[in-house]
Amino acid sequence: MDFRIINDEKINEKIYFGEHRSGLGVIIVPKKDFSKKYAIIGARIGSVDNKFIPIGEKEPYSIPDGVAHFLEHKLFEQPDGSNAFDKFSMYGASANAYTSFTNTCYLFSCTDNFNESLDHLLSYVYEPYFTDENVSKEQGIIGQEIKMYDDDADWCVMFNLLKCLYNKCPVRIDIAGTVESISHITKDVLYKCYNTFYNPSNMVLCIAGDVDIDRVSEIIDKNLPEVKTGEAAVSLYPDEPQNICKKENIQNMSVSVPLFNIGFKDNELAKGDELVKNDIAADIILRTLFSKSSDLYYDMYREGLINDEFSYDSMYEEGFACVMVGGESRNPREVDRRIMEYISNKIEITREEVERCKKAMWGSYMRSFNNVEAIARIFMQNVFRSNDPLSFERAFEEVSVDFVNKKYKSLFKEENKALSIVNPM
Amino acid sequence: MEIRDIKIAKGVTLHYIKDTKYKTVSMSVFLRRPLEKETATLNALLAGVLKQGTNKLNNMKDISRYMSDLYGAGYDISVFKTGSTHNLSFDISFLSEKYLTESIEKRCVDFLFDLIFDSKCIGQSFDESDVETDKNNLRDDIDSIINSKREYAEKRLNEIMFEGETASIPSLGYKEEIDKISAGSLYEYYRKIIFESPIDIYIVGEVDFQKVSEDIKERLSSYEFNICDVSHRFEIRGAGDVKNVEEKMDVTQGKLCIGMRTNISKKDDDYFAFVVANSILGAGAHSKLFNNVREKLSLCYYVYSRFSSLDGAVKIDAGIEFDKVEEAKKEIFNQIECVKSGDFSDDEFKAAKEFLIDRYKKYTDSPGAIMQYLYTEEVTGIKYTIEEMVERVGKVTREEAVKAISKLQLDTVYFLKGKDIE
Repeated sequence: MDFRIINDEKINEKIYFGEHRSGLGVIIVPKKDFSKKYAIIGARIGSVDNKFIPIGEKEPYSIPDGVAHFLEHKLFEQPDGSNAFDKFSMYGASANAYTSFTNTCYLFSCTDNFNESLDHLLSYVYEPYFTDENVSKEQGIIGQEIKMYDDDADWCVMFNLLKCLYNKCPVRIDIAGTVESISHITKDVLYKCYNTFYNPSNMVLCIAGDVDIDRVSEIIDKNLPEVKTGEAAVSLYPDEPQNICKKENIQNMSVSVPLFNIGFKDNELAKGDELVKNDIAADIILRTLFSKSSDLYYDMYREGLINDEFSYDSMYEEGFACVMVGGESRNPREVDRRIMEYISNKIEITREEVERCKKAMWGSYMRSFNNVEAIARIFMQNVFRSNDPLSFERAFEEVSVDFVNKKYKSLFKEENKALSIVNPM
Repeated sequence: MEIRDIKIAKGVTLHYIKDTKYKTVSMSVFLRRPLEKETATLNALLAGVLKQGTNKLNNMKDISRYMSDLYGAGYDISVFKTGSTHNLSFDISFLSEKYLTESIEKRCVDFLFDLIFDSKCIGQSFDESDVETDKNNLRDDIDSIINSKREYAEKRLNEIMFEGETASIPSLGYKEEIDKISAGSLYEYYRKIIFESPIDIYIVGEVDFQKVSEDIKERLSSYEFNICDVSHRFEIRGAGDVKNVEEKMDVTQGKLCIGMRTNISKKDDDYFAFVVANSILGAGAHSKLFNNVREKLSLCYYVYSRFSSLDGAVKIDAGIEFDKVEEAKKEIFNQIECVKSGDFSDDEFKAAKEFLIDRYKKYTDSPGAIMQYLYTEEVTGIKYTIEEMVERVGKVTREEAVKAISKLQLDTVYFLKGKDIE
């Protein structure tokens, strides 16, 4: 297959980017001196894709919560009764997979037998084998995965927040579903989902490491169709109102001190480069307000109101966006009050602050090129978002002080805020 | 990758791992103490207090801004156990100057040594309020292990299995010891140990080594080091009567932790044979535990068996339904018996070795992993190159693996279950 070669001098990397004739997006980043080689293939299907028009049909189809994640588990099933891990193990490769709100990814890393492992990755991802029996077996395993998360206080405090911020958007639903919802999954549901979303046009393959590009091309040709077999899948998302669903959620669990998460729903949704810019601006704002460099952090830390666990995060996707601040505190409501007070007194993010954050963010972007996994994941995210491996770098240049302040002024509205607390029993 | 070791001062060694593939330079200074009940809490508290600053940058906010201006250089001070040693770790990593138009290396290295040798103090004491803040943080840290039920169960297994042994001493120390420490006594302790403890400095990446090593020598030349010997002592003990402990908590999933002893450690001839046997049993998705307890019986989502090269202990843990605990235990013990009786296929044997070889080879792709690997060798005095480890694992025969795992003895079975479960 043909690649466009991008020489990125700023980071001193060469990136091979192309679209296979099957529609699969492919990125290869050669990393000569690394022993480890890494490949990841992702499909645009996540937990939020719970209603869609199946391929070749016209009517919308709703599926139980947790199907994308269930499908991820079941793709490992091989027709001969073994699982896809077995062959990877024989090659000395370690394999894994994960499902997020918006994507499902299958990956492996290895030091030897890369070509064999890649061949296996593409072959098992493109050869589903679902039976009633293997579906019911997985309900037990995933049931234990769900229960593990039910006991995970950090996970609960975050999901409780999303349930407050969102009324209808499926981001409020647990990625793995519930023990009840997965009991409704059948092999037919899985095939319908698979055939709709696991079409190469809906997928991206990303490889980093010391690999032979011609061999990689041959392996892709061997495993993928010669022509496009379908179009990108169509998901149907409910209309999410601007307002939040609930002001707060309190849960009791076996924890040592209260955990909290304060979130702000960002209603300015975007796509492509604009989405990447929003994400970067949010990061700059969060660093300025809540990192260890900030006055707010320092004061609350010195007073013992927060500890080292205090942190911030953001989620920017086409269908939803929000920022959150969380940690441990004996008085989460006071933390909430102090944050709102600090923001109301802080008129703007200064040029100096933006520049300092940008320096640190550039350092951390560069740092991710120390690691083949991080390289592949960054480029895959960029391609998923805007079909361009370098969208982050371009957007990063474009984010101005004014752009940051425009976002700052609209982000922290009291009416878009929710509070989630997990209290000790 | 190319390794050079040089003596900087008595008991102070600089290890340079030259590797041009990284975008960063990573530097760690390890200060080695014996792991002891009396001092564990002091060491853990020091890691927090020393992070509060230097006499030049005397609070975390100023440090954090300074780090941001150095292109997001990252620093940390932490404490970790390696066998019977307890180590203070001072780390910094920063972008290689190859990718910058300004020079930051010297500023980063100076800051790291300021953290160690010019820590923020008031007269002959740390700042009282810093120490109070960090005492509270340490209490929270110790308590918050309960937030992760899997970690909590493992901690309880350690306490029960190693009662009275060095391995039971937690890296964060003891809550009840915290109150006894004052800003003055902690400072006095620290000034004593910095000059008595073996110090290993690691640099991974690419620097002007001549210059950096001279700078460090110069920096340390005014101190008098009087280093005591601190190295890992292998204290291997057999299992006595099996301890069965069940505890209750408000949880939805049960946590099973099984502790076993082998009498085998890294210094023994059958070490690699046991590593292979444990890999067959439960090191990953290729293993018997994963394929039987999880895949065949659907009893759990995770189940692993981990072997510690320093104390010879094997720990198996799984998250399961409360009422499936007997079934899970039975299957885990059944799988152990399978390995013991040589009931594993050639494919399982091969996959177990490939898994280990792949893991060893990957050490050279992570600055943190390579430092930890080299430092553990320094502490134990037992050294294998990565090539040697790959070769040793490759040569293990089926018979050797079976013989090694015959030494496995059950010590403790711990189960954390729900509040209302009988």
